[in-house]
Amino acid sequence: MSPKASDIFDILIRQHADMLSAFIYSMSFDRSEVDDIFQETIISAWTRIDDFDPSRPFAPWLRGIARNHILAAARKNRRYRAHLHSLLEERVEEQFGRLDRESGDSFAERIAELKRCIARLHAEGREAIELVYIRGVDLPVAAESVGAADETFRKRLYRARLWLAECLKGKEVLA
Amino acid sequence: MNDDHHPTPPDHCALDLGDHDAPHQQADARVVHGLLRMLDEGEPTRVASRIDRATAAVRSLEGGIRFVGTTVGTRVGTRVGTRRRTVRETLAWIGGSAGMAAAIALALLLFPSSTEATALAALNSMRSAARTGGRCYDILVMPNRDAAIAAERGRGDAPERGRGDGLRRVGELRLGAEGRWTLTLVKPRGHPSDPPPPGGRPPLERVVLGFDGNQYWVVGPRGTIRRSDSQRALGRAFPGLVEAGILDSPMDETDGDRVSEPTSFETLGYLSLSSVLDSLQRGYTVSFDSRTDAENSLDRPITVVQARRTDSQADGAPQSVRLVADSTTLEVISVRMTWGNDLPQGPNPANRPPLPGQPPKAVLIRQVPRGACEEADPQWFSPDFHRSNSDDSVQRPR
Repeated sequence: MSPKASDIFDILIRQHADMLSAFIYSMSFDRSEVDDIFQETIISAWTRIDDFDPSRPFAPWLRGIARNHILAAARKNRRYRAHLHSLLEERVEEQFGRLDRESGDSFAERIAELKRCIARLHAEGREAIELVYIRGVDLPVAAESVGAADETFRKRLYRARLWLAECLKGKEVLA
Repeated sequence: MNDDHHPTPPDHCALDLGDHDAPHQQADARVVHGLLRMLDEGEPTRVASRIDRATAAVRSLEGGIRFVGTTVGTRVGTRVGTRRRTVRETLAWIGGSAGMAAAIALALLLFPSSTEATALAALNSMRSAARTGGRCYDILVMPNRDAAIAAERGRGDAPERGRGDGLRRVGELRLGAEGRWTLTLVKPRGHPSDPPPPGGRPPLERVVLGFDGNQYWVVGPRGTIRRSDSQRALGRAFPGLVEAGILDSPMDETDGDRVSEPTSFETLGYLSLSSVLDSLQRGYTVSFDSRTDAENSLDRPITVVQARRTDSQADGAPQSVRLVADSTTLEVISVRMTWGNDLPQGPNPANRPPLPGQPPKAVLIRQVPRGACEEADPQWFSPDFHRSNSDDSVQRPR
């Protein structure tokens, strides 16, 4: 009995689920959409598997499908349309390409590098990151809890992310 | 999802404020945003849920879509009665058509010619699962080849919990963040062939192996700490483990000597799952083992990957490794390593190959997932923690 195609496809999904989720979070404007976009991406990949060139890596192909779904969703929403930017999208893909370029290193190892960078972050930025991303506190609540205005807190968070990006570049996790 | 007045708020963090920054900086901030979202405590559960939903959808589609016509990509979603049509059959369906080139490409991805590639994918997924922090396992090591093989044949791949079943519960594997782990092994003091002490069980002694994120280490039964950059080198540098009989097997009666199965020296480096999985990245061919239905006595699907060594010069590496994983989580629940007649020669009897005509030596390691375990002491993955907690009154395993 050979494994069924769907069994094998399951394995591919499991292998790429974390990466794909992170990619959708990166590109999407609405957290509530992430589950649906993930689902649509996988179904599209399955039904279009014959379009896949097996001589090429699987992850970028999967992200390409996800990207189409994300953009399709965003274009339907006036609020997000202004944030669409092809240069930005290409750069996000470039960075994710970098993330899975080094074979043998798991996505979990990249996340471990990120944690090490967070530990080195200045106290104010680390506090903002931990509140919002690790403890899952809504941004306005997090801002209030540290006594900062929403806008100030969002800028703090953004600058912390930029610093983390530089840290990950220093570790050659990002390009 | 397509409503301009969506009831749920947008991801405030995703709507960046870096209008004055270059696009690449904004993009980098977004990439970090996506990675940070993966740190949320509830994210592993959400990812698992996404996988479940997606795989269920794929399975429901597997029999329902068939390819028609001669042009690749011309598809009609059609139910094929009550019988599930597999993609393999779909390939046969379009055989001889202009779509064959694509079918071959698909076959390269999915079917036997690429079995190794997909088995490698499974192996990598097991490797990732084995690096998930905050997990604990009960560990059973069966170094005796006959017991290992008989247990495997007789009991399928079901892990055992109880005592008195002939299987030795050895200790605990604890996985921490960033690749850290400890493996606590417990055995009765003395050699297995020693007579039991009068009036009860012999006291237990303990060895703890670990990785602190930088170095491998071993804390011996008397609290001695050894460190090394190489787990296997550490095993060789710590003969006390062999002398203490921590992992050795009952006497080999074929020549009257106390001959260890290949656990003590050579397999010490293979006792942590992560090192087994790492070692399979090179010098092995891997494939799915499809003979699982008859063996599987678990009430859940399993994935079995068989790895066979191609490099006969690999020092002490097992000749074959059979990994059984829970198909849902890809957590490895059983590893059987087999050494053939090419064990490295050496003065230590642990390295002695089986005699001619004897079956290969085998070690079976079973992992019973306890699931998520509470955060250990921050110093847990440091050898000093275990030395300071080392004493003779080791508690017997449950």
